Amino acid sequence: MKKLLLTLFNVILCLVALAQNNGTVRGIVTDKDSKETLIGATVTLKNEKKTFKLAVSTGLDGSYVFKNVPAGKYEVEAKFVAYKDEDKDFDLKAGETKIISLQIESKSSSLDEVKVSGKSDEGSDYKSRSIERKSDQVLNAVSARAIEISPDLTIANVTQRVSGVSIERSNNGEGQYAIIRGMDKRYNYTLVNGVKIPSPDNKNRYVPLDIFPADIVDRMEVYKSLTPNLEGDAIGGGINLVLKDAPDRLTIRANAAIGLAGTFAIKNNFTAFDHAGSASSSPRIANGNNYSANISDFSNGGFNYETKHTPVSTVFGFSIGGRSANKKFGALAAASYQNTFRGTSTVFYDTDVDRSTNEPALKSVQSRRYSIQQERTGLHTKFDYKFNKANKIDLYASYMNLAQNEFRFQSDTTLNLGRVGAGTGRVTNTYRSTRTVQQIFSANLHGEHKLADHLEMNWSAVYAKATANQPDQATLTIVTGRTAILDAAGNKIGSAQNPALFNSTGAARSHIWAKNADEDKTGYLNFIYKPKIGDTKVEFSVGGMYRDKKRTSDYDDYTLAILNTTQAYDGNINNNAFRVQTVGGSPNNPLNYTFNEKIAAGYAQFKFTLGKLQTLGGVRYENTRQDWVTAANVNQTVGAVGSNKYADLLPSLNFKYALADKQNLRLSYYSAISRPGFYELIPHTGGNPDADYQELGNPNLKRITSDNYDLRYEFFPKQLDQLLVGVFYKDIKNPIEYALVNQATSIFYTAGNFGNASNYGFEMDFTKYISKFGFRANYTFTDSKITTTKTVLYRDAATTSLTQRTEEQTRPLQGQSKHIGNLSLLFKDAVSGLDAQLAAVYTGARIYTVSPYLDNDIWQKGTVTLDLSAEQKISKSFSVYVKVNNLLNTPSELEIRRPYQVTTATVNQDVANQTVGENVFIRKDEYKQFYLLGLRYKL
Amino acid sequence: MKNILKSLSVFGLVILLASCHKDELLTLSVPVIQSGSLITSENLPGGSIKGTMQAGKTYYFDKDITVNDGDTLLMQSGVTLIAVGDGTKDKAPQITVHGTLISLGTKEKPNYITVQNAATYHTEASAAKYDNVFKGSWGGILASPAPVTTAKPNPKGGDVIIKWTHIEFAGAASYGNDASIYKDGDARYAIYFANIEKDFILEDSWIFGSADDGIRTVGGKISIMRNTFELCGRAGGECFNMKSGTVGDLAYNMLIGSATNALKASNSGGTTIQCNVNMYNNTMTNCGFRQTKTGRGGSINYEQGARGLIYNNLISNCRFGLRMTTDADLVNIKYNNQYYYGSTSGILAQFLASDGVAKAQSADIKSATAKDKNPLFFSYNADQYDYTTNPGPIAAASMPAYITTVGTSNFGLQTSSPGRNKAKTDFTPMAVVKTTGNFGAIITPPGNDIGAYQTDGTGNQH
Repeated sequence: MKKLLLTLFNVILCLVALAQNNGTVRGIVTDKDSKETLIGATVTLKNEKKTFKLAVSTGLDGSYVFKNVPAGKYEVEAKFVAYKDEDKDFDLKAGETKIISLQIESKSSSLDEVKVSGKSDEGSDYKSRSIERKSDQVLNAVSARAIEISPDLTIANVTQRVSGVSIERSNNGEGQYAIIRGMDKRYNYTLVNGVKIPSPDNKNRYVPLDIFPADIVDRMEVYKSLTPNLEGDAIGGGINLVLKDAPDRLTIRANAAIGLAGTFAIKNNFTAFDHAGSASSSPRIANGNNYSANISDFSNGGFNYETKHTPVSTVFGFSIGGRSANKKFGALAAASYQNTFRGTSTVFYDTDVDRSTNEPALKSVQSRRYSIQQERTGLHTKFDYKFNKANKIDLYASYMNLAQNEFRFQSDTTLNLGRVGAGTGRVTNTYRSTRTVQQIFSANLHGEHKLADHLEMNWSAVYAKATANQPDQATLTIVTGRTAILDAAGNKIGSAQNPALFNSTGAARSHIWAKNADEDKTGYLNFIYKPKIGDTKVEFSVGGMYRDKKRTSDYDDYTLAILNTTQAYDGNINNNAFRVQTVGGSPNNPLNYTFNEKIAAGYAQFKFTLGKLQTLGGVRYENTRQDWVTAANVNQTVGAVGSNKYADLLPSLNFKYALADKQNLRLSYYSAISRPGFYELIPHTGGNPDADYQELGNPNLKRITSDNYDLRYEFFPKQLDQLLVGVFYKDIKNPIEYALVNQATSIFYTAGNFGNASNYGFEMDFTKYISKFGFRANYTFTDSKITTTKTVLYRDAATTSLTQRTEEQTRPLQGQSKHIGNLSLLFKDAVSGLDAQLAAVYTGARIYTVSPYLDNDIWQKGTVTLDLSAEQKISKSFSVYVKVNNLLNTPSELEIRRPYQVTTATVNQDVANQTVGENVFIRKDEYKQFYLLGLRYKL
Repeated sequence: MKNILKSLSVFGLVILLASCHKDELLTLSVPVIQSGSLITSENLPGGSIKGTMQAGKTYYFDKDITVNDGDTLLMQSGVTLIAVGDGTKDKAPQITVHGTLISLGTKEKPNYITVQNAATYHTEASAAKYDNVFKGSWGGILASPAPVTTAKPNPKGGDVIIKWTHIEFAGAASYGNDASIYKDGDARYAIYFANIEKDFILEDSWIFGSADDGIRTVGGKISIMRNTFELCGRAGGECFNMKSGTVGDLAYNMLIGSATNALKASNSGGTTIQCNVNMYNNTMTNCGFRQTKTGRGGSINYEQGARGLIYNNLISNCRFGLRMTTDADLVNIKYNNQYYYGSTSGILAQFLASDGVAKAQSADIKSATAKDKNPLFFSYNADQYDYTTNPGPIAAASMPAYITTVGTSNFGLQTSSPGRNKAKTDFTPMAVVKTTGNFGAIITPPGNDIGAYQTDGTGNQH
């Protein structure tokens, strides 16, 4: 042992001596003009006789280091894509540490606003930071490279890495919608290459972000303030997906990966169903309104299940792009395919409120299991042609397809009927198979022309169509249960299984067809005039936009009853006989509608810089005209047919003050609107058959308007390092929230405008790179307030009757978390070619569902999710990568913030999950980890 | 300084422009209300009608007819109103009542609201063939205030008063009939009444055959006395289903062969008035056997905050006895003097439905063993059907007519019946409806004998 220690000591001593004899060379590589540090530049150290040669790459902070360099005369040279080489000669003495910093010059002109003309590494973080810094408005950007090495497969999940953004997840735990600064999805829009795209979502205007595979995106920008040239319906903000552009030289990229969901790793329980037999249109749509459906119109396929063993997810991506020899013509094509299998298990307590105390009351406990397969295809092509310096056109076309097969099994045990402790009670089992195909196609022809010295013009003609088809959502309802066996004294001594019979009160089987399409035709035209007034360069732009949008929706709900009510279900529906109860479908349902919306907009905007102050301001005018026709009977439904028009004048003003070389102060104001969704306006009734109250469309909904203020300080000490600190305030008029309303003699759950709301907050974003390590953190505090009317159920002391009153309650906006934080650790070693990232997201508690009853809102608990990804270069063109999502198996948990109580009436409920005195447990979803292993190729 | 000034002036300019949001210019279609035309012919044209149907005449309608807000449709005695329909889409007319409906049948000259094939369907029912009985040939009566419009922001609706009237074979699927009440394809009810302000009086009438609930009320002042309900609900559904806002009395009704409960009260559906109904002196038999859900109830059911008094009901061979769920307004429910008869031990075990929390009461009469304490109906054999072999659910097709219809049976109690003189009489009906004038309700107070038929000749007159 002693000997070992001695040897070790000697070794260390020798090393120290060696280090003292040899010298060290270190330094930083920067851009000559911008003084920005450059990452990944190759630095080569050669001695005079060329007998010594070493090469390294600069780290995340632009630094390089050569250790143990023998004394002598050396040359150090820096090389970087699209930069001119630069070298320096020097003498290195023994034991000396020489600091040699290199400034290299870009081959092309500098960056201009959002458009980057210098071809540094496409889609790099560097570009994103430059964009944040140079943009005219408040925004955050995420680069393709950051997306590539992040643990995220879809754009939705990428958004949560941005400060102030949290996500709303779908049933499989994947992000689906972005909540920007606590503002619900309705307040945000999604742009692709700056152009708004229609949504395939049947209920909402906003586009589900999980339809976009992450790898066709070059850059994602999150706008937090608007300029007059942007559409005005983003009170929360906008997400712009800038898709990949044709590169200067032939570029081929490919990646392939396989993945596995943790849920299926141990238990082989992915349930698939057969959707081949389901007609893509309902019997009514296929055969006309007078068609009377018969049993042969309904396939049993949705109820024929097959268990898949450990289904393997696959991911492919391929892109090829290049430019003709004369650089005039560029083309890029990219394709992406993801086939993922995910599973979720859920425990859900269905609640009501106690009619005399208004406290939460448990109705039933449901155990749910989801098997979800998502096939995501993205195709995207871009061609551009530069006629000459002054004229350029490009054509961009994309197609996105998300086909989802979701099987849900739900076992619902009532807690009030026949419940004598655990393991007893009436049970309703529902088996539901849903296939949904969402598609977005868009084609955009865009031209840029220099008309005169100071005058530029650009235009776009866009056609886009988004469709969603949910053919034959098939649900089977089976009633069963376990009846307690009691002894003479009424004590439980056992329980007996009841037979599994088909539901006879409602539908034994239901088949729903829902289909909707949004077709947009949009034209944009902008003129930019850049004269010099005095010494000041001024930029005036005027422009306009016109969009003709047509939404169509078809809906049919068929119910089938069991022919002989005493037939039992043995797991194979082919053994049972049914009759069609709803032969006609839903021809009068208002969800069969056509909705036209025509938006005409124009703006005038100016921009100039006086000294250190850049001012950008102007005004936008948006004129909205809507009209709709539904299938509802005009003599029964107010607003079966309707139209609406309104106009908005939306000013905006953005100041950017350069405090110092690398520091900005921004102050901005903008006015914005948010239009109600079509589904909310259409006077439909029902929609959710499980709801306690009927849902009612509200054609009287007004649009939401808001005034938004932002103040932000920015500091960019080094190229990738940054510090952003900001505050914001939003004053919102007529916010739309859901509440119960009394209409005629019934109470409905409906969307309404609720006075005023305010939303303010604080935001911080910090990034620091030290050599091979990077550290990113952001934090957002948001506080919003809205007051709505809530119902209180109580027992009147005088009459002992059960009755209700209303009370005002102030609460945060739905979906707004007070605290949101992100923390990521990055490791990048250019020498070994290893990139790794550990990313944590904290999403604070937020309201998940607004309850019609006082103090009964359902809250989602705060969560911390941890994702890991790593990529290792294995040759010049190949690298292997691994992504692990949800390392901690973070569940999503819902609760009502009232203490759980056990009363004499509920003592027999005997439920798990609930603890007396703690908040009432509502729901817990577990998704488990998701692993992905892949290979990436770049040329 | 100059720069700052310039910027400030720009700022000022923008503020001057300050955002401006023009109000919405909204145009919504509103129901076109056709003024009600007086009845002049026996073939009703469809659309809005008002006036009087003359005694003894037969009227026909093949399209929906509406009684407008403020209008009245009155049927004198002996009127037959035929719904021309077969229950298929567009051939299932309904009577929509936004105003007042009065049907004044008499014991001697009852009224009928039925279909052309009524005789055939009755014959089929007697032969235990129920397909046409349950299919729903017409839409039923729907009484609720008219839709809210700017012209009429507060429509009041009116009363529905029905005496000595047969209402038969309703329940056809709705297609665009009233989206706020029925979805497309939903089975309609023979009568739907929703108006917390108004009276719904149903006396001495017959509800025969319905696809779902026979009658459903979502709010209303009710007096439901001395009626007979047969064959309500194909595979689910009640004879009379009351939701929030329903207040009043149900007494002396004879209810036979319903799919689920005979009478069900629940405060669900959200009005500010609690569902508060008294159920006394009703006779119910063979109810609840078509429902496939275990424990759903088969006679009287109180749930979700409903309250009221439950006395003197005769519950013979129903799948479940009184069922009060934990969420009913147990504080305000009073019950006693029920007479439970069961011909099997299975039925005995559910005299107090195990899914509920009702307890045995001091003055209840119960079979201690199967077939013990037979109620001794005048002419009805309570033990004829073999409930041991068929404990339920029972498919409709397997049900003989004698357990689904009254036919020629007499459910009055023989002198030696254990139910005689065992009823509680020291409480009073709520009597919330008008009881004066020609159209007023005739409320029969609690009687001495348990069940709907009284030795003194009062109670159910059928």
